[in-house]
Amino acid sequence: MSFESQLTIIIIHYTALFGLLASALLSLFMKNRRWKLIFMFLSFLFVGILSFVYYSGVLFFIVGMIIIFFFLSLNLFVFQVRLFGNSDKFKREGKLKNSAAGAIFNILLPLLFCGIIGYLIYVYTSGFLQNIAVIEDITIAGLSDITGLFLTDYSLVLILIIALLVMSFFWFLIIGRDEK
Amino acid sequence: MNFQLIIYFNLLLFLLGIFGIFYSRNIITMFVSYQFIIISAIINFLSFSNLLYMHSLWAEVFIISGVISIYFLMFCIVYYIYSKLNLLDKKVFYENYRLFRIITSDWWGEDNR
Amino acid sequence: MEFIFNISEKINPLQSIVVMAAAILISSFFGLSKKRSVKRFIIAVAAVSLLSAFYINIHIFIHLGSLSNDLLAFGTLQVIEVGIIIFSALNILFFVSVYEVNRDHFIKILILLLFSAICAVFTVIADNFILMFTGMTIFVLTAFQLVTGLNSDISASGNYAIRFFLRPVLTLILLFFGFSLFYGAAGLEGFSQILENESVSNPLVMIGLVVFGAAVYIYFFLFPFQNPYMGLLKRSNASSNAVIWFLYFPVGFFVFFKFSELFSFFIEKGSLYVSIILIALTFICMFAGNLGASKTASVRRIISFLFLYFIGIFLLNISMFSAGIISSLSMRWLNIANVFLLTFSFIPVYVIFSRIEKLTGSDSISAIRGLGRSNVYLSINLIIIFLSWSVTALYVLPFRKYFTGGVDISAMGAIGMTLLALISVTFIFLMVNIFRVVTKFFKRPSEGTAEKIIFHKFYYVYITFFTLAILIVVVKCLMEISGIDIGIMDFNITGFVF
Repeated sequence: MSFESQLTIIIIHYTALFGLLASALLSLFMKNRRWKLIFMFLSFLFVGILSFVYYSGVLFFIVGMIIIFFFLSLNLFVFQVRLFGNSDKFKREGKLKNSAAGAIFNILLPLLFCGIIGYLIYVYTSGFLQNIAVIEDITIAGLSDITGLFLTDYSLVLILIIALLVMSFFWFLIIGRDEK
Repeated sequence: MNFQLIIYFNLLLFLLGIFGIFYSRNIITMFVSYQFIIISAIINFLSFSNLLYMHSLWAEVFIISGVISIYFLMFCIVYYIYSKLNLLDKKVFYENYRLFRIITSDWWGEDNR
Repeated sequence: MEFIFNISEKINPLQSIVVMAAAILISSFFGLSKKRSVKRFIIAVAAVSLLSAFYINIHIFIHLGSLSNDLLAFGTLQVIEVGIIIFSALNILFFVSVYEVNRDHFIKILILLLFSAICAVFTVIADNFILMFTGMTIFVLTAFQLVTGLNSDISASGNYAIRFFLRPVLTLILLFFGFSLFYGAAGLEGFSQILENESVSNPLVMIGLVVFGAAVYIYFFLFPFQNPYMGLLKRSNASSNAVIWFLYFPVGFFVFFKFSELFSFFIEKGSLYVSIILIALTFICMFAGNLGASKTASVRRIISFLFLYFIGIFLLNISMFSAGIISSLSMRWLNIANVFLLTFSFIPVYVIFSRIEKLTGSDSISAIRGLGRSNVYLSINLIIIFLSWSVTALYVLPFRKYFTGGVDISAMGAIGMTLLALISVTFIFLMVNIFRVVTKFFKRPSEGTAEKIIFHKFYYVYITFFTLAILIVVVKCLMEISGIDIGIMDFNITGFVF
């Protein structure tokens, strides 16, 4: 691989990582639910870019089909509550108690907990990760290779997933139709 | 590519997801936190497969089957909330939902909520 | 016959799954029917398929032996686990057939039940992480679909069903992350590779194991995170409670058993801090389970709390192993014995109490007053089943060596003494709770309730089966202890335990 191509891939890699982190932080701390979902979708797109960087771009398209349904349903839910949930009869009586001390407590404790765990993980794994030998060869995962593997070694998994979709049809019938 | 950086980034994303689970007050933030943990696992699989194991397809197969099944499960849950719950219950999930709650009636006494 | 045998060999060990899948296929043709005769036919098809699957599961293991390949591992433990899952599914079929037969969506619910049993079996017999993870995710999804389908007419339970199932979603996501770490540590792709690999002490494996431990803890709704479990079981209908207690939780136990060898490997090496944390968690679960049961008048909540107490016994087994009081093999067999105890005692108890709740319209403990006067036979059976819980007193047996002079008592250490105190206190508390329930049987019934509590003859046969099973095990254990062998069973029950 030429030096320019390698450099391009490294730049895309770090940009995608940075973009992923930024959109993750924004979606976590944004108060507006709609923007949360937008940044969450953006983080998913950055993962797609990363999958190309790791020479597995075909994965993004295969799993993207199901993930899109999930995002659609979440958007519909948010849209419905925003549109219909603001009428007077659904307004909460009195405001939610939001003390400053409670809010700080709510952020500080999880931050402390995650900080301690992160520090312990860093201390425990730094020696091991420094000594890992990385392989420089490049191989690209093709759709034919993956489907071949599914049809030969992992056919049971494929059968399970297809059976799930069929069984879920019955469930959609149960919750979709009200009983008399 | 710096392997250590990738792993620490993934662990950071994982911890961000754990932080989000405890911090979240609504179901959207909770799903966002879940997404972080899933993303960190996906990048782990891809980077390990690519940089350590000669691009073994096992990781790709795991990502496909795992992500499809988890996201379909989450889709069914959200679809159930959207189609079956009344608007008041939806607002509870939208505005004031915590994954981990400690209430006295779950320890003793009666549950008359 | 040769043709069937050849096919059976080719699909080994999936024969029981194929039988249940055939039942699903037949039922699918009648999925939209609401006729009573069709429903009875489908109940018969489902029951026959489950009974056949149960028989085939044992038969193929005896004739074809154990199997291990890249995807599946089918040994003695898996035969037992699959047997328990199919047996539980059969009992849930009973619940669903009694309580839900008049529903329009009855046949669809039965199809979902059979499919969830199939996914549970896949989860149990899987050795490859991909198959195990996918099987477990699909099982949780079908359990969610079953619970929400069974409660589609109860508006209060929808909210709690969502809260309940968002926890196993987190469990699955944590498992997904943990498997990525296992893969990164040493390219591990299956459970059989784990302990064979030299890199099992790898830091990534350790972190993965901690993540798995947290995931399993969250899956079981152990204290102090029991809120959605208590809320859902209080509000949902009897059949969905049966799905949660007798299918959802056993699958969690069997997934935990898959990791138990790896947990044992690290716990054996492990430190005092691990033992202290485990004992603290055990104490919280066992003590709080009994405390909650004693402080409520709702029968459902009593059973829910006591179920959590028995899940705490799994933690007790691990704590005793970490303190060096029992061996790894004893821990594993005690865990299996606990699953049997849970299945064989809670099913009949809940069958009777849910029936009383249905007949009287009340979940209160006062609804069971006078049961001992109006239904002497059922009360005696229930008392025998409750008394089977006193087997938890046998956990003091490993400590007898310190008191009979075999080993100096100071060798027990603070941790050993704490465990002994924990076992004694929680056992006494459990007996108090049982006594509280049993005394209600013989009190004067509330006005008008005794006439409502009438059981069909089938309930007597059903409960007798469980009581007889418990009595047979008790008699066999007593015979083993006193050295009497009449040659009926080769299997030695007490030999594995202590």
